[in-house]
Amino acid sequence: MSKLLPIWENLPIYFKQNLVDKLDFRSRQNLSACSKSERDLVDSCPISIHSLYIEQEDQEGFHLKISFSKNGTVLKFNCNNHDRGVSALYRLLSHRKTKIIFFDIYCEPEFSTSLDDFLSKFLEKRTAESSKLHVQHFSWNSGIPAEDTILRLLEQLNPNFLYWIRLNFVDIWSEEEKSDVVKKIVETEQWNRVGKIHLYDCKVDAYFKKFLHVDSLKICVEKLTEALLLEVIEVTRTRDPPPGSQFVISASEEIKLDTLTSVFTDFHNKRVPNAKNSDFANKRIQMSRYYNMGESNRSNDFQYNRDGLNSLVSSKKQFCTTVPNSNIPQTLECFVGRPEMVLFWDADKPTRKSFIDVNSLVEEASRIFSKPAESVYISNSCLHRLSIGMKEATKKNYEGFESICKINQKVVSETWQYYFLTVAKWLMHFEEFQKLDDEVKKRGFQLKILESAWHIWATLDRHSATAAYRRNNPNAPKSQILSRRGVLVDLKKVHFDSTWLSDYPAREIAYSIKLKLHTTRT
Amino acid sequence: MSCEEPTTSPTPENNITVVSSDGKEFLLDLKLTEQSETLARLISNFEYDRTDVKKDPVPLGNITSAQMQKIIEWLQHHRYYPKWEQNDIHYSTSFTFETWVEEYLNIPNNEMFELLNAANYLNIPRLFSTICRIMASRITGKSAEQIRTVLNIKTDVKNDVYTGIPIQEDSSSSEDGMSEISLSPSPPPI
Repeated sequence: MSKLLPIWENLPIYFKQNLVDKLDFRSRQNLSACSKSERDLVDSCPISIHSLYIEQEDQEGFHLKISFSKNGTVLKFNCNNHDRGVSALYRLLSHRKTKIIFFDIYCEPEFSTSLDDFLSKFLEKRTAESSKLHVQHFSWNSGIPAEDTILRLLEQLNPNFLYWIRLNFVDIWSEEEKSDVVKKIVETEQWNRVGKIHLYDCKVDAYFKKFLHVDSLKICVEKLTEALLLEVIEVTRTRDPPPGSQFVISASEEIKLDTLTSVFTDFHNKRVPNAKNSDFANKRIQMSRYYNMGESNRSNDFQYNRDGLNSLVSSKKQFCTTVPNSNIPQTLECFVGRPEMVLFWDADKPTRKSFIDVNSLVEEASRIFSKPAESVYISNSCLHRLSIGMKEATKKNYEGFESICKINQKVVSETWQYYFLTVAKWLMHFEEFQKLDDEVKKRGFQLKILESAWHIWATLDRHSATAAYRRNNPNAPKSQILSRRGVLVDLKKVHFDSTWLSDYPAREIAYSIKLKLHTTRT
Repeated sequence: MSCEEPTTSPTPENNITVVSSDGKEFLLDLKLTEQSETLARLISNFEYDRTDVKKDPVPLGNITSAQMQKIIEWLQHHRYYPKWEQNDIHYSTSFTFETWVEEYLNIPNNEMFELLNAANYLNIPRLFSTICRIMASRITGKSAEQIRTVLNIKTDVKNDVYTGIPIQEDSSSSEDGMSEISLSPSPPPI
């Protein structure tokens, strides 16, 4: 049996594809420039794109701005030459499994013709392609395209994958032009399958029913009629869109209070039987321009001087010259002569405090201390043993990083648990630690050492892991850190859920934590 | 090796014999074979994990004795590691390696590729993936010319890096048409 030579060309294709998958975009492109077969190889590997922007703000020409999902690298290509730009874009999107989360087109009105030329060339190049682009959010912020550029572009998107269409037509369009384009767009399959539509600055009174199939909506109308409003409300009632859905309708004309009253009365009458059980409370129907306050002058009803201090002051005769003979009622606290704090004190209300039970962690650490070390290393140097012990303790996290986008109770607990127990194991490699007298051990000194040292070790390890990550991924953004071994966090994207920690808003807690970190550092 | 890990001496009950392409026999602990999906499936199919079944030597025609030796070294080192799990697509690849792994794979490309073929044949995913990562780490951040040198690729056409269009020798530099700017965000305030 003839054996293949052990060279790159003879390696299994799935090994090569696996390798390409691990490369950043620049390295992929450099590999593809090596030879034709390497180019085919790279083109056969899909790439996950977080956001792709085609934009032109000034005379410099088009930019393709691309950020990648895996390591957050952002690249910007200047495409002064349209042909080259089109080729680059075409190659970037050539693999049928390439996915784009955000596809955003932005162009100042004066460069619309140039954008149209660029997109037409791109679409022409894609005419032979049978597969459609996997775009999740499509956003158009530009002026007038040629007759059907936007339509053709939309038709290139996979309707099964597309979730959000956002169209922002700039002001120089006339209403007729906008309506003509939108009327064509609403007939596409992509439009009819999408879950979220935002359409700005285009009145859709005549065909607003084409917008009612979605879970989330932002549209403009000339006049918000009772019929339209009822239809929108009916959508939320019958189709049960997911919590968080919004139906925002901006009207050019002010909405009459009577319209709203009759709509909601009508709605309420219909809804009473199961209003409480529905998700309607979670949905939001927002009306811009609000309702017309009408002619009635209600200023007489307004209660002035409700402020407690003023009332107290005004109650003293010598200071009451400003509000003489007022028949405005006093505030309750003034009336009963007690502050609100005491009035509204509810003795039965529990003063809840959250306790985190770490007994199981302490027990686990005690168990680790009571047993001999997992592995024994022969070394005369104590530092060498510690160094080996550290690598041994963290060796399970060399394969890759898990990117997390939400820091919640689970993540924080796992981090604490990981570091507490890892440090416990690491301490067992410390010869002197094991030589502590039994008497000392009994008094829990080992645990005290662990309690004092684990978070310092954790901080140093986090910095060390982050430094190693940045050294090995020079293109990774600086906002990425390793919150612990194997867990990658982008500080700019991560969401911190603090509801389990405190009732204060997350923003304030994050600020407090940052301040604390800052103080600790300085 | 500075690490002395507890070992169990193979006995006829808990080992199988594999034969390399050059006829050399190796005794393999059944515990070690769990890392190789090929061997694990074979043992399961022939019920070699039962003491009352006669175990014939397993011929490994694609693997030389030198490669087998190297593979056994890998299996021994990872004997107590948790079962390999494929990371999902959201994982970013780490190019950080254990010192032991760096030393183990500090070998010329041809040996590395032979080892890769052996790992592929025996279906040892952790070794396969590690070789893949180490090869990726060797070419990441390198120019096309440097990659050609590392992987010994003979070029057939000179393409523009970004567009893939063949570059005419008499044309101006490809940088004219397109430049690349890194827009990595600045570090956070804390």
